[in-house]
Amino acid sequence: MNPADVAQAAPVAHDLSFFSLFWQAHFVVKLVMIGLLAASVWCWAIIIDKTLLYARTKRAMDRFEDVFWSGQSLEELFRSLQSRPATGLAAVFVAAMREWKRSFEGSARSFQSLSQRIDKVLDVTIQREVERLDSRLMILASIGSAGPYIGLFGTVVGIMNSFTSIAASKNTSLAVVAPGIAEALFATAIGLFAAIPAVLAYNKLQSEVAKLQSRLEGFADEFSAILSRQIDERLSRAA
Amino acid sequence: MALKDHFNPSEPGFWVSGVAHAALLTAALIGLPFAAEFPEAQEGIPVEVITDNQFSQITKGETDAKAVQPNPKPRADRVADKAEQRDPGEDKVNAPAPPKRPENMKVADKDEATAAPPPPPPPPAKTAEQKAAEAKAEEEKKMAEKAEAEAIEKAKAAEQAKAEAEAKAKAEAKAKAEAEAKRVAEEKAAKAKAEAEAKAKAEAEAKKIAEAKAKAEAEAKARKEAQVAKKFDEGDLRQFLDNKDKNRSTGATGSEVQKTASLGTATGTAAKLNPSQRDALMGIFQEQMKRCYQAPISASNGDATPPLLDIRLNQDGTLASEPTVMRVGGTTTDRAVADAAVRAVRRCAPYRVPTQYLQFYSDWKILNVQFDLS
Repeated sequence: MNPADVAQAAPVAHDLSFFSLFWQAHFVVKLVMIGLLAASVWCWAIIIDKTLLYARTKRAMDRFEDVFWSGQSLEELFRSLQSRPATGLAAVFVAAMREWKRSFEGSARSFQSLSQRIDKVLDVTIQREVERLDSRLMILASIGSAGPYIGLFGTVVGIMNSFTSIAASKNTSLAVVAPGIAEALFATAIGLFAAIPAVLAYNKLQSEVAKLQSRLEGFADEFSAILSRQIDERLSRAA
Repeated sequence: MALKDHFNPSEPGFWVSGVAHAALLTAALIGLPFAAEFPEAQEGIPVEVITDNQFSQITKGETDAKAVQPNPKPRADRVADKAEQRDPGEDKVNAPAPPKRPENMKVADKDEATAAPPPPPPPPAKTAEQKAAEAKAEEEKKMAEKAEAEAIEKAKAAEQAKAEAEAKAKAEAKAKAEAEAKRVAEEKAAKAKAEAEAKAKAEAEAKKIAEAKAKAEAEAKARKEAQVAKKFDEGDLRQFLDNKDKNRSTGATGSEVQKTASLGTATGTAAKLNPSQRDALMGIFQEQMKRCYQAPISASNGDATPPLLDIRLNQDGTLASEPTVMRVGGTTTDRAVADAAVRAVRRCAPYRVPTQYLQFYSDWKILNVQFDLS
């Protein structure tokens, strides 16, 4: 090839802004980028929702414990809470009280295994509450672990594509190679952009859930102890 | 995914996240510069140091040539008289421009031209012919003309030369007269002599007048020139500055004329001998040289230092230039040996080069041969 011709064929200038990086990319890479961006939006939505939910739950628990240990009558407390759907400690309390009340409402007084039944109800309620707190955290975990791989997939496809283009252009100067690589790497960048907050938030939120769960269980144990003492007192009185 | 199509204050995550992402993307698109551009890299000027030998092997063309020649050849401006390939180069020439002639100088020259016509021809010596013999008269006339011509020359020369010429002319005239007198002694000796003398006198007088006139004219001209020279003339300065000619080609020579150099080829470097080929070729040359070498008597005991010769060859095996001695020992014997070696190289001159080595000419064009004495 004539060196003079080579010198005349100046490399085409490439625009390396975000939008052009996206727009020049291959179809598959575009799909990957869009998907990862949506995943990022979703994961941040979950993070915001969960943070708010846990804060709310914690505040509600504090308030309920204050009321519960204030010496107020349990009957009164139950009546005030019964009317609306309860969450957190209130839900546990309402479930146990409901079971307790049912045992006394009928003509046949069934004290024999009331303590066991209450324990079961408490367990189920705690499980349900934890599930409610825990829901959608797995999505964060998935995004956190799969995001980089999806981004890497986009990068590999992009690099393959750009190498094909480079081979067609028969020129290996950096000015020709670089834009394709930059485009391809942009997919990995978006993948990491989505995955890093997801992983960090997943760990944080998971520990919060664990804290709340132990608090629920602690309360359930205490409440169960109170109720079983009541049951034993009534049994001895009846006998 | 629990997408809500209306805003729920207890779970605002989706909307907040979506709006935040949109804002971030917009900011990245509009506001934030993505990457600072590096300054554009400029190519450095490549500098290479090459040896004399490498230079002689260059077949690459000129960088500013317009197109690649179909069959590239080294550049040659003309066919050499001697079969010698000279590489193209540039010669620095300071050619002095011809002296300028100012306008008033021309006027002075014209004056001179009109004022100094050739002196009128001397009066012919008819009277002498009538009385003297034909041959004698002719001789006389010739001599007279010669004297006149000399006189004219001298009139233009300096004053001293002028005086000498006068004296010489007189002497000549006298001698002439004497010769005449001798020859024509039997005949009309006295009469002829008197006439000759009278003629010589007349000529001398005419000469004197012409000289005086010429001298006056020369003085006037010199004065005029001095006046002209005194004036400042910027044209002279310009002329001095224009004195430098553009560099000219030294005139590369070759076996055929090739006006434009090639731009270059893919195989732009001359073929090179490999070491074994080089050894073989040097052996061939040494053998041929040794056949013509006659050791000086003083070196017969064989302890002389072998000289190093610089031999330049043409493609047909003839010498491109005289072989020169590059290194020689200190003793007189060594010098004698070196001279003998040079003679031998010169004597064996058209060297036989096997055909397979012809393509490597650029490699054996310049040979530094350690002349083997054994």
